[in-house]
Amino acid sequence: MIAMKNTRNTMHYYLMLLPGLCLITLFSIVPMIGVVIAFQRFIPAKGIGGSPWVGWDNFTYMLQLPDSKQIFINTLLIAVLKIIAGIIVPLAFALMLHEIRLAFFKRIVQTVVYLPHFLSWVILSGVIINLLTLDGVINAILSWFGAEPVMFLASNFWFRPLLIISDVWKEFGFSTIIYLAALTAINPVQYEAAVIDGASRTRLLYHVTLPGIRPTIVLLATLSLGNVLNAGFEQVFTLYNPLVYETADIIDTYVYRVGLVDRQYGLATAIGLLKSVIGLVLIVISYRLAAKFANYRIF
Amino acid sequence: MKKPFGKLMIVLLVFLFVLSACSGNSGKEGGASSPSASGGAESSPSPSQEEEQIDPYGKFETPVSFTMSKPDTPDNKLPEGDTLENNWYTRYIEQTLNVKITHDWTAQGDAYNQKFSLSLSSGNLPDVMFVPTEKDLRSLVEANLIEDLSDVYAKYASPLLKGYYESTGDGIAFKTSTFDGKLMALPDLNVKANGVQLLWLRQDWLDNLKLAAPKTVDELAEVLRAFKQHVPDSVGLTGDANLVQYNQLHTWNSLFAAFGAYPKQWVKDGNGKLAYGSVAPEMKTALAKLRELYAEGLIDKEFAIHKQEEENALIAGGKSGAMFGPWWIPWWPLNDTVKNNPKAEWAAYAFPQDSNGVFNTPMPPINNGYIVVRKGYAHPEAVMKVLNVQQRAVVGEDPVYTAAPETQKYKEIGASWTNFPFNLSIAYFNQVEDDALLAKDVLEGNKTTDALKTVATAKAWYDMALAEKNEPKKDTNAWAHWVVVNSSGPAMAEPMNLHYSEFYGTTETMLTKASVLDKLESETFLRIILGTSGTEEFDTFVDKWKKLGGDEITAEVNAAVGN
Amino acid sequence: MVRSQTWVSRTANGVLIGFLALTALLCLAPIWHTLAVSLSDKSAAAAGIVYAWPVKFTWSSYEKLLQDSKFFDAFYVSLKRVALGGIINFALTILMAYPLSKQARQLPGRNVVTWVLVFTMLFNAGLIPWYMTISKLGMLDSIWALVLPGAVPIFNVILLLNFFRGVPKELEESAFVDGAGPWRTLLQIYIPIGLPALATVTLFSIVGHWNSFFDGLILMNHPSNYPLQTYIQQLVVQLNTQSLMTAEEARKLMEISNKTLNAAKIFVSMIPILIVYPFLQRYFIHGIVLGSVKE
Repeated sequence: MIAMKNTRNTMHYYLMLLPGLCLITLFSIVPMIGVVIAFQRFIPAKGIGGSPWVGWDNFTYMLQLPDSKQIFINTLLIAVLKIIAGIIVPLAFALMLHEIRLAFFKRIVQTVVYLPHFLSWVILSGVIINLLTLDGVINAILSWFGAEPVMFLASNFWFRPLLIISDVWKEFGFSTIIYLAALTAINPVQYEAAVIDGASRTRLLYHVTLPGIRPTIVLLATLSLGNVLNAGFEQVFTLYNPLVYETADIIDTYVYRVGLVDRQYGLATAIGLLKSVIGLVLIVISYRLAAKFANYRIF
Repeated sequence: MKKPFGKLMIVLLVFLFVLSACSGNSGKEGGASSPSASGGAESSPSPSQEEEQIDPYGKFETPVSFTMSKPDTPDNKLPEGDTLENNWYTRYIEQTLNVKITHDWTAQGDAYNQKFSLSLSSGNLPDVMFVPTEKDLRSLVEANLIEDLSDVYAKYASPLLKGYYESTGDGIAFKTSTFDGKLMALPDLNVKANGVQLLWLRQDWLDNLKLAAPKTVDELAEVLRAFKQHVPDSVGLTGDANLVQYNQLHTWNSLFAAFGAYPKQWVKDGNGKLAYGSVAPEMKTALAKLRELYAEGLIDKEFAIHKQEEENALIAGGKSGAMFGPWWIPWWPLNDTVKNNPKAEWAAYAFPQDSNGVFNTPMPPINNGYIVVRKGYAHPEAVMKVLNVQQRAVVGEDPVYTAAPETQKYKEIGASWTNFPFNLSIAYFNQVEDDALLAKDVLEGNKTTDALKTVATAKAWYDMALAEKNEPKKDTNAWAHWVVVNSSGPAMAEPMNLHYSEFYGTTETMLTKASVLDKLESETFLRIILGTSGTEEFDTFVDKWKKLGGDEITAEVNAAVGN
Repeated sequence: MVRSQTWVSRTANGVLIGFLALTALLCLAPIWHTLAVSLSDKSAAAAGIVYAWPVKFTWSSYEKLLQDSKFFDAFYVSLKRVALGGIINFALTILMAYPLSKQARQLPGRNVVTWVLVFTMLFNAGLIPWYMTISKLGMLDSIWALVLPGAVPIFNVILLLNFFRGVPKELEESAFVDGAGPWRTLLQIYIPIGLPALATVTLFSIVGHWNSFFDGLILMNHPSNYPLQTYIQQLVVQLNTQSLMTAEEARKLMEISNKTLNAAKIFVSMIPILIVYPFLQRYFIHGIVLGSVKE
């Protein structure tokens, strides 16, 4: 009886999945056939059928560059720091917001921090350049402390921190929302019980709040690993200049400049593929680790 | 036409001789732009009829239609209900020729180029396409996707249109659109005005300081120094991290050229071989000088990290009194200077000159965009005729069109000519400066307004400049016309050396190595100018450049031009 | 919840509020600046002297904006896209997340499907195959090209399935015992309990649709079909001056490089989100008082 019912349920589950899977097949899986252009020197006028095959050339191209090491280090460093900051800052912010009981204030802050997400980097970089200019606000503040004015955007020391900070500034509101939603799922009974036991605010944080949203933290952290080679093209592109190529030139900006010489779709596809493979590997590893050590399946 | 004979000049001028010599005459031959030949212009359509049966403007008996991909016009101003696809211009074409055009797709700027590649790769070609680059054209030819237009051009092109194409002299207009002797595309023309880069100075500052315009780089330095003292919070000459770019704001094409340096262009070396301009010794001299100017604070300290918008702000806010730019910048960004400070004046000069007293300015390739016809499309002659009719209307040679009330209405609201089917700007090589000079002559009373009667383009300049004269700085659009008529137009007509690159294409090694080399180049040059590297870094750069593929590229380029 | 009234705690609260307010101000700054620019004189804005307050205050940008029919056309396309795309996303996210929140023994193949999802989230075939697929399906230039390719927002599915997994099994089992099938269980138990998570993913998908510009740029054949952000993107990218021949074209530059009008467009484009946001926020600020979630 129960078995029969289970089978019937299962059938319904499949039915639920069906429309989504069809669309995914159509728009994500079928086009995958086209990744063959990663092995071509793709010429639009000749199409996939007529473009010359070049084997692994597009993949090895980046590795053979004299500055490939620099580009990979920049990409990895910027992306990893962004991932880390992108986990910690929203989490900390959500926890702080959670502590506030002025509902009105909470709402406003939460709305406002999400706003920079709506401005494109073209707009934001204009604002950032003006903030950091020699007679801009930041240098004015520094001069109160007697510091010399700094050309931040021409400085290989400052440029990467600036990328990380401005990225956090733009995007932390996004993950904050997820954490706040996760926080609502913690059973208030747990708090009440802990308070009756005489727990302090700090203890509540460590013993109730954090464990309550741990799955969400692990999930977001794991998924963000997929971006381990995505350092943020638009941001870097709208802020950098040749003086900071040394610290700011990333794979995507490089490929973009290659494309200026000749729109190289083959190379772009190959690089995209490479980034995805590495992202997937990291996600699989992290999934396995979570399953093995925490006995927790992420998805 | 003056022919300067410096050692350097001889090297640089070879390619240009014909061009610059011809461009001196072309206006006279052409008619529309030159007052002296204006009498013949009115009757220009008629001679064609005697030569052949074919009427280049003749109406088709049965309707002909084609689909096309068309670049969109930014901020397009059209009367209510009219669109890019269906407006007075397209209706006029349809009325005249019985040709109906529909747009397969349209997009603007970069998006057009991208969509163009995508639609090519998906294999859906419209009958007629606007091709944005020479490279795209080449791949279309190689893939055998487009029609040979040689016969169509020979038979159907109007004498008027042919006159324009021939104004460049020596078949230069078709240089990039001809493959194996076959004309595969109808090109637009990058005329002189699209290349010449002028020095713009705050004339009110110069006047206050009682300074003459600086003829040489050293004099320019003095002027910048004086400007800095005159306006203490000013930042000096504006710049752009892309040191050279054609027809753009703030880049330094003409400044480098004053040292005989032509970065990013291919120049003849002493032995008749081609060499890359960025690695020439003149470049080192130029960079050393710029480094000096920068260190002294005569160049905006932040030019390398600023984008165009920030440099424009310096100009608009009166924080800089010197920039390099093309003839049209009075509309943007100079108009904002005047709006913010009505006392401000800008003037353009064909300066600085090199040590031989010649003003050099690097030129972009002669073609910028093409119209092609899909292989197998039945009526390529319709395409040719549309261009004939369009060109005749645009230059004001069709009285019916000019007199039409719709034409007037479109003029009033400022509808762009790019609403015509083909985005090919085809003008006489010297049209902008010739028109401006003519308007200036009339304005100053050296010629009567009769001279303007047959030159519609010059008349427009005159009308607006007159409005500015009567009510100074009331309308920035009129002011901008005034500045072009009185300053940048005449400056462009000064004798100058238009420096063309000997090679504009892309070679095999460029595909893989150019990005590395470009990166090295822009990094090194900016560092030298900003003083983070010594000038001797240039020599290291040249060595590296050669080793990392520069030598290969140089060999390929020489092979490509048959050296 | 806790209400500690000690002095230390109150100071801590004050510091916390101050800090949060400061951060919020930092995030507000660029929008505030955009607003100030939009209300300034055109030439003052071009000179870069507008910071936090409008210089030579004027409504002219907004007056001009009201006459710009293209802006409102694009606005309408965006609203259509958000409505259509939002509903499709909403339905498919739930329909995917609910079955996938089951154990593999309840739903054989569940793990395979999940990994396929993760795979497609990470991998894409690149611009050309994507374009060709949509072109072959004949969807270019139609609103479906903007909503169907992203119909299953995988990140949202994974978020929601995690949330659903946290729902106590007992609730579902008792529903089954009462004779409810999976559809009824989903409707009557999971969706009400999942409101905070659903509000979150709905917000993401609405914002995603509202913000994306690239697909509009590539997949629409006629600019009259551009959604709002595509339209705006076209305004703020660098002007093309490569071949500029006539005074008329030069004047165009003067008009397009209108910083204040562009700022007004950007600001107005944010308003719908500012309206929708607080509405959705109700669900995840107050949370759910259903009690027994999570063991």
